[in-house]
Amino acid sequence: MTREPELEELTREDARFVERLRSLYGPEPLEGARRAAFDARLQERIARPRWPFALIPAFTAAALALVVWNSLPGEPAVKPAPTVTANAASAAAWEEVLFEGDPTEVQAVSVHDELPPDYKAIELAFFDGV
Amino acid sequence: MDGLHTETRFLHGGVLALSTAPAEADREARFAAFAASHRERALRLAWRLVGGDMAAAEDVTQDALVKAYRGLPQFRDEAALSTWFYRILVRQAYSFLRWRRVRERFGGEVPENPPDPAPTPQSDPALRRRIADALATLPRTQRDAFLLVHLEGFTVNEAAEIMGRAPGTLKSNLHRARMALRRRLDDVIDSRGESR
Repeated sequence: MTREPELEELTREDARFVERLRSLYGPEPLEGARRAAFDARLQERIARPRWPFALIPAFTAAALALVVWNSLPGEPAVKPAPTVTANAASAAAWEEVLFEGDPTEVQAVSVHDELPPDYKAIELAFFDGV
Repeated sequence: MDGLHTETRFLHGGVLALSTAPAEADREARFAAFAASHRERALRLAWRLVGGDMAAAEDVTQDALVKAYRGLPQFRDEAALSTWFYRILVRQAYSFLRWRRVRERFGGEVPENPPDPAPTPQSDPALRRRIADALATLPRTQRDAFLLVHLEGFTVNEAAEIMGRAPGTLKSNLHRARMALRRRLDDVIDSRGESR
């Protein structure tokens, strides 16, 4: 790595200008304690554990997947179960029967109340309305 | 390459510390020789690229040397390694300058050129400043060409390889850089002899 061939192509003035500039614009050589400090720092940096750069793409992909996952629409909102409201009149009748009437009658009354008309007809025909 | 592990030392108290693995020892020996032969030149080039700031030049050179150490197994040829190393060094220097500009813009006032702990005895700070400013006004390709060939002594072909340019283009950049610098600095650097 020599510079002579390039300087040969320069005019004498250009060559002198370059020489002057080189001598005026440069740092002091690194010597003694500064060189030792430089080498020690370099040694320390090389010995330092390396961050596993190979894992960066994997971390990036994982983070991206997490972001995408979170941005997806979630499960459909669970509709609240329909509440069964008791018929107030029927509840009142039940309470009356439970506390004051005969349990057998309650069932009979209840069954009659709840059976559809055609079943009531069958019941009357075969069970005499019992 | 290697994952999360501690890499072995290439120097130990100034003496090469041989590790048990022959491949590692070979790598360390190569790196020690490489660092010893390129450190001074790399520091000089970095110093000129960052505009005369020695602390920054040391940082830039360290970064490039650490990268060279990591990339060492990929290069069996010393010339290819050295070209690659100087290309990294130039990139690191520009990366440093970009960050310095960002810090200046967003982090308040940062001295553009911190005091050099080891100034060149033959050059006064004002003259150094003038030269640095003149170099800074050149387009990057002209500046790099001038620094690599004329101030650091690389051949045109070596510099072209470092810069990733054709030698012909580089020669034309060199010529323009010389002309521009002479115009700017002729009042302080007499090309017939003495500095004024």
